[in-house]
Amino acid sequence: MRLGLDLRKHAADDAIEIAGQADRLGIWAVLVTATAGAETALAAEIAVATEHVHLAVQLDPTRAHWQALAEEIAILDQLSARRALAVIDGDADTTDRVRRLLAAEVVDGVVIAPTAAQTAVPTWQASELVIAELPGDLGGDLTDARAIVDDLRDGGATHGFATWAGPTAVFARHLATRALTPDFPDLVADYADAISPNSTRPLDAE
Amino acid sequence: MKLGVGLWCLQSTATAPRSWTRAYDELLDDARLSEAAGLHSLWLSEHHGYYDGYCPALVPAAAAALAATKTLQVGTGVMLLPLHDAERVRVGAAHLNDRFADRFHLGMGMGYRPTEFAQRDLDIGDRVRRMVDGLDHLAADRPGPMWVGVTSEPAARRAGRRGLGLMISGAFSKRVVDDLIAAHREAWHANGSPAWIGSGTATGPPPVGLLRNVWVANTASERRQALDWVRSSYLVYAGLGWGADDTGVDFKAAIADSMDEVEASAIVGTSADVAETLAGYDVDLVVSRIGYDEPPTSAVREVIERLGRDVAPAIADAGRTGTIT
Repeated sequence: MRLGLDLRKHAADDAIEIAGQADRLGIWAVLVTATAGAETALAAEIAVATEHVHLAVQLDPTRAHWQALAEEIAILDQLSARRALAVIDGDADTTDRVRRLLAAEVVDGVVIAPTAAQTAVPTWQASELVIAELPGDLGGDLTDARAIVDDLRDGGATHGFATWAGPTAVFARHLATRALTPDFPDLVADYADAISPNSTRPLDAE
Repeated sequence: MKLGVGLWCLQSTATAPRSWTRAYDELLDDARLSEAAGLHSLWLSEHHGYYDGYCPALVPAAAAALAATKTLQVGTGVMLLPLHDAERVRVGAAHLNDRFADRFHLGMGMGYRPTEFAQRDLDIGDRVRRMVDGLDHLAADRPGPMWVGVTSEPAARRAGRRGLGLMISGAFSKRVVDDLIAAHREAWHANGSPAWIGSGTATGPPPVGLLRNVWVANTASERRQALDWVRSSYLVYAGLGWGADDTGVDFKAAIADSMDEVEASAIVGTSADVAETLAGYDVDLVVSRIGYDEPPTSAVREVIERLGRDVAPAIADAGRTGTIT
């Protein structure tokens, strides 16, 4: 499964900094949000600061028409060159309409232009997201976090987001990687810590 | 007066098809270049569901342009307020000004395409009420500099009464422009001279921004080319069905005459010619409408550099100064 970072509770500056680290460390995606009306502004700011990480943005549909939500995601997708993911904090019908508009379908006579840059944008209802609250043990004991990731992956999830208070580089080395495969070689990650204990090396090299 | 550039609409038109992803990529480059050239601002524009992808979501586009720059102001010229929830607009504008040191200008207009209202389950007959309600909501808790795009004197008066800046369409003659400015200022005086919430220090009426079709050209052939680009760029508005009463411009009913009117009001010439003409307007800001769909990227970038290098310094002390920074 793909495991990204849930940054929804982080302040904007922190979210941008961690998203930059995630971008450089090859993490699949970050999940962000902001006060209703500013969600894609924050995501667009992150898009400018990053090149590779996918940008999942959670939108509140309470005060916005579903066409407007799809349009904002489509513009984010163009700005980020196909890295947008949509999360709708609303009902299934709204989520479905946004998903279909982003796939260039005419929905009840409504269209969006431009289309999304992607052929279709993954669009999820917020209540259906897989969220893992990982214990951020700064002492280095990853036992519990590993077990949670294993359960998610083996449970058949294809994607999810994790809250994580530890270093982004530790998440990249030990947990995002672990989520990918049932036979993740702990030996490699643990020895990597011994050989290169400063696992933020890719950041420092810049 | 300050000098900015517009309107970045991020389209892929039938006249000049291109990749939308490239258009958004170039927005960031153009913003950086405008800043380096010393221009005041870059302005975006909004429509919905039009075949060419005319930008429908200005907040993320503005956020990206602001994130790519450090001092450039970025504005909406205009956001179609009746199509949005005013509180959501307020939050977006406030967020941008908080994140980017008060560099975001919220320009708002009413919209005129019936399909855009219908697609949002709105009645276009309610657009004036929704505009007025939205302006009042925003004026009560101003999220930064606010402007109202107008095509009529009643609209100019609405802006003046609330102490909001006036943004005037690029297609109008100087006579129409002067009449709109007069209506704006009269309404401002008549309503107790409400303060302009902006970043400038000058007192007096709220600022006036003027969108003008501007191009710097040194030869007759360059002038003709630029004027043809101006004319063809209004095919977009013919397709959108834009027209305005009593202004000589109506792309819905009289395309050819309207294009002649637009060409007559375009300011195309040497840097000195352009500066001299712009200095004749009693305004605070000129937004040079150079974001046409036809010119090659290199031509747009060259004119940005010429405007910043030659024209902006030449008009810095002309018109009104001090109301916007």
